[in-house]
Amino acid sequence: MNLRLSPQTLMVLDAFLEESAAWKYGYEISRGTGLKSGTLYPILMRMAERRLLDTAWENAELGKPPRHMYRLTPEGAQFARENPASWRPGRLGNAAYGEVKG
Amino acid sequence: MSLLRGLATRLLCGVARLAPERSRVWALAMLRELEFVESDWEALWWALGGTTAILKHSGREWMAWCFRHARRWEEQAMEQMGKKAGLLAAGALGAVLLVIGAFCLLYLTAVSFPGLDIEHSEGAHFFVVLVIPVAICLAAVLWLWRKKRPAALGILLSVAVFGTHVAVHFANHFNRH
Repeated sequence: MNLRLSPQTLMVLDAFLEESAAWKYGYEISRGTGLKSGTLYPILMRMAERRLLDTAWENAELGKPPRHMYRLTPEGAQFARENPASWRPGRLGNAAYGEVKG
Repeated sequence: MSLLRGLATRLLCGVARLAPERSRVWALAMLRELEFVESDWEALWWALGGTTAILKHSGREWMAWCFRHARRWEEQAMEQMGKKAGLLAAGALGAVLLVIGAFCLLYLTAVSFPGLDIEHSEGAHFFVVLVIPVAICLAAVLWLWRKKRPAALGILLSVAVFGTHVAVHFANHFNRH
């Protein structure tokens, strides 16, 4: 697995780690991290392609369109724990800009 | 629905409709989230960002598809080329072995029947080593031309080399006399 660990990716991983077993919505993650859709979704897509992220459609109530939900896979949770949130201002580690193989 | 929100919805609907299969699910995901975006301007930015993300993803998918197909095509071309080269070599080798076999046959006959004096008979040499193998080779070329052309070309190549050798041999022989 090969995921570019940009500060934004670390922010997303951190947002998932808060409740790693819970499903999250795209807009919810966007609000939590402050990332725009154009930044957030490519990260989610890459994570899903690398099997770090589970995706599912919500079982919506009648008449309401379903929402797409995300949560970390066990590998994703382990990966997130191995790469803690060093993105926070003043805590940017070297790994934040590097390429990490897992 | 406001004008901005309507525009954002139409934009993401269009993207979801036009996106390739693997990107479509993400376009639909962003479209569903649009309903939960509070302000209209934010909704428009959400849709624009989503469109950019889908364009990037589709572009990457398309590039990956192109690389996959180019690699497969290259592998097939290499395989075909290897097969053709093998057949060509087999044809050429077959013709060479035939001529060597004819030489061996002539030698064995000369040893087995010394009374026939084949060793000094130019006609026997000409017939056994040249006429018979070339006739067999040409028959094989005709037979293989449609089915296994590279093998036929390999045989023709050997015949051409052998023919040149014989022509040079005869030219030297007649010059000496």
